[in-house]
Amino acid sequence: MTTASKVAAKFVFQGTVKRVKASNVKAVTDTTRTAVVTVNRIISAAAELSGFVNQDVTVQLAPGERVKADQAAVFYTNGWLFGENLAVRSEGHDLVKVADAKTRAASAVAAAAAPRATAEDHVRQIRERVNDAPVVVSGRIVAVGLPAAAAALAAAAGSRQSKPISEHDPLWHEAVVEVDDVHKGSVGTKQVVLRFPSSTDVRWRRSPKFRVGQTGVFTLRPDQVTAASALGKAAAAFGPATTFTCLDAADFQPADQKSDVAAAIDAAKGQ
Amino acid sequence: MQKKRPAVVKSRNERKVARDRSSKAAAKKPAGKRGAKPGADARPAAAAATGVLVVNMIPKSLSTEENQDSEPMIAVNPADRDYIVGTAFTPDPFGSGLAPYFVSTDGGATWRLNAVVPGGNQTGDITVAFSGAGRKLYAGILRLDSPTTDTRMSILRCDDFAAPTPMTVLADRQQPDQPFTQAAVQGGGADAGKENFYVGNNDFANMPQTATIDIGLDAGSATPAINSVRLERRANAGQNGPQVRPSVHSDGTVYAAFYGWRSQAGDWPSNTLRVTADAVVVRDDSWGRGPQPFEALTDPADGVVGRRVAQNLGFAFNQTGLPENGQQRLGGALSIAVDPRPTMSSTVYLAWGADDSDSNFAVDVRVSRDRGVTWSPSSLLPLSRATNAALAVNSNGIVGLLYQQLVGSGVGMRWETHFRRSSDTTTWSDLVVASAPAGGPAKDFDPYLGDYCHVLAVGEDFYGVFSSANTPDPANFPNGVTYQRNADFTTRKLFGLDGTTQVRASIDPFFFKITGSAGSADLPSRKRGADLPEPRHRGQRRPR
Repeated sequence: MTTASKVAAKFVFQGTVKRVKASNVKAVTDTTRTAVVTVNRIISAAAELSGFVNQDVTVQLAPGERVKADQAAVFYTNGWLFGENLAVRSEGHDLVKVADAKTRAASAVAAAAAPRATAEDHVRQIRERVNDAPVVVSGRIVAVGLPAAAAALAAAAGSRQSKPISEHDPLWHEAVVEVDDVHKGSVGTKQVVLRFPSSTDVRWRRSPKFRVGQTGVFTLRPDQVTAASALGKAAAAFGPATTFTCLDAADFQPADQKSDVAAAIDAAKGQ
Repeated sequence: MQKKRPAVVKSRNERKVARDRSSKAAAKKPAGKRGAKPGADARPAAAAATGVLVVNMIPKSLSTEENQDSEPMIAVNPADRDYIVGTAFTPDPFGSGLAPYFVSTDGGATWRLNAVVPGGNQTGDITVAFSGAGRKLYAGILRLDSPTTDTRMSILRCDDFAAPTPMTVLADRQQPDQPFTQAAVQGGGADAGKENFYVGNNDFANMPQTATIDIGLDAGSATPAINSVRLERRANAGQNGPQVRPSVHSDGTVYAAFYGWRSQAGDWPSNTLRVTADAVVVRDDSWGRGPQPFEALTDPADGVVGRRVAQNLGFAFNQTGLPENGQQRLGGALSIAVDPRPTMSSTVYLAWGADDSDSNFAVDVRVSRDRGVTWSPSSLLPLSRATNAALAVNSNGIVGLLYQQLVGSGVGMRWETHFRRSSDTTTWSDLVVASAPAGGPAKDFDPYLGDYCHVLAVGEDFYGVFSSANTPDPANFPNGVTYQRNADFTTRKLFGLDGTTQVRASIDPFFFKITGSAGSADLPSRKRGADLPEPRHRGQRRPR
């Protein structure tokens, strides 16, 4: 297994091997390369996985990977099966010294460990978005409205529709951000305009929906999707501005989570 | 009583050996015990009322999830009905870049996730179908890794639905909406044994006549030819509706239904759009193989391809669901089902959603017994404040109708999920498989319950899936239910994996199976209790 695959692992936990050549998932019938491992501490995981502290999971070992009963190790894993229990595929493990393991396991109070692990995953998500975004600013939303094209269409056409009606229509809106700080890149103006899908459809469930008064940190990419060059009424009142999009849930962080973004930017700079 | 099937991670040969052993072992058990314990940690998933099985599909290991798992679909393998796949708006908790579907290998008693669907951690719309050839599964999906400006549809296939191998992409193009997948194996003739799929979709690449079926002939081959057949032949209101539904008979008859949008009023962004449409049925008599597929049925009034079963149907087409409609986004509902009996492809049922005079949405059901030429003049079963209609016909010719109906008012509003059957289209049995408050949990996105749910028949049995609020309240499941996730039906609370951390209620997918004539269709309409034993509600024991 490679370091890269361990780094990319989605579920990293410290665990103690309970049984080798065993499984606690009914669907896993070939147990020649599996082990049942008790999760002592979650190091990195999505929020949905935070409840697995003190739970037994089935680990399918990577080719050539070996563990023994009672060994403690940090396992780097990805998903396999969600059944009556969880089964994961190992990308490799690092053994943990017994004394260290006991100390860590003892301190692994589930209620405390899980939020920390998911917080790390949260920062990782922000870091991934920040890494490939040209601009990161903090500021406040001062106006929200329809883009010029949509507004003109609505005014001119009345009830007559001129483009296809789809449940997955993004229903683009514009938000004007009064910029307080530029954390990455440059914007050249005091305001920037975000185009964002206001639709509540499942297609856009992860996209932030902005409203006047929101403050926070915005991870921005140039608008290459709405095909609207002119600004709508709400944005035009603020004069010329660069337009961006902000489409992922991790692209907007409320002001009280500014430190997470700062950590992500620092990490990105350090790479 | 279902045979207990082995786990599916084994190879096929290993599985066959295990299955043989399992069947023999089961045969030795007393009948009442057979297949009662699907797993060491799982509670029995026996039917609560005789012949009625309702199961919350969320696996125990996902007990902490609070996702809105709406818009479900189901496929049952006709070659082995223990093999079932379900879908919903369920993300992969691992964020693998592949979306999951639900897998059961024991007839729906237990479920697990298999993340093998390309296109992102979650799909947009997804529908699935087994052809009946081995363990092959077909899917039509909207990918979430689509361009921001367009939808992106993929048609997928895998050789083994339970394997962890990502599905193969057979077709991939932008602009279609709401793919709806059916599949079949041809039973006779020169192409006997070949698989076909039929994916209805609303393809905005062919404005304004957008109603489309993608036909994959010899779909099991390495690179099946796919033909996008445009169904609408009349002038319309710039497009058709998203619902394009095929139904396939083993003699090669393929029906499809769609809404021909005729006019629009109101405003989409303002959520006031109303549509006037025709419910149109088309038919092909030879698997859609000919040079001009789906032209077998013309309308007697204008001679144009496509029988208009109903005209001037009016309904709201919402971009977001309203509280007064139980948070559910409205936009019509459409289902078509052909009688599967060998000589009965002339009989076909159609259900549609439209407004009626008493409520702002309703379901209407009709039947044709002459291959779609003429239709029953009035509704077989008019249903006010109902949507998500889904039809199926079993091997005895009994028609089943699944729908979700809003009852009550104000804070007392509830979504009732009904399954009704009739052998004569006059008398309908009525099983309420779920009844949950419509006001909560609050929706995270649209659609709240889904733009569709699904039912199908294999042999005498009906299999269905619907989404509903998951509060473990016995009153919500009048015919019983089994939960895999940690739930306490006494305190009516959900719990995380530790059995102590409370989890908030959300929308879950629920599987149901009605065996044979359970809740007999020959009896007058009734709800629970008429002649059924007291239902049982089973959840995971909370760890102590």
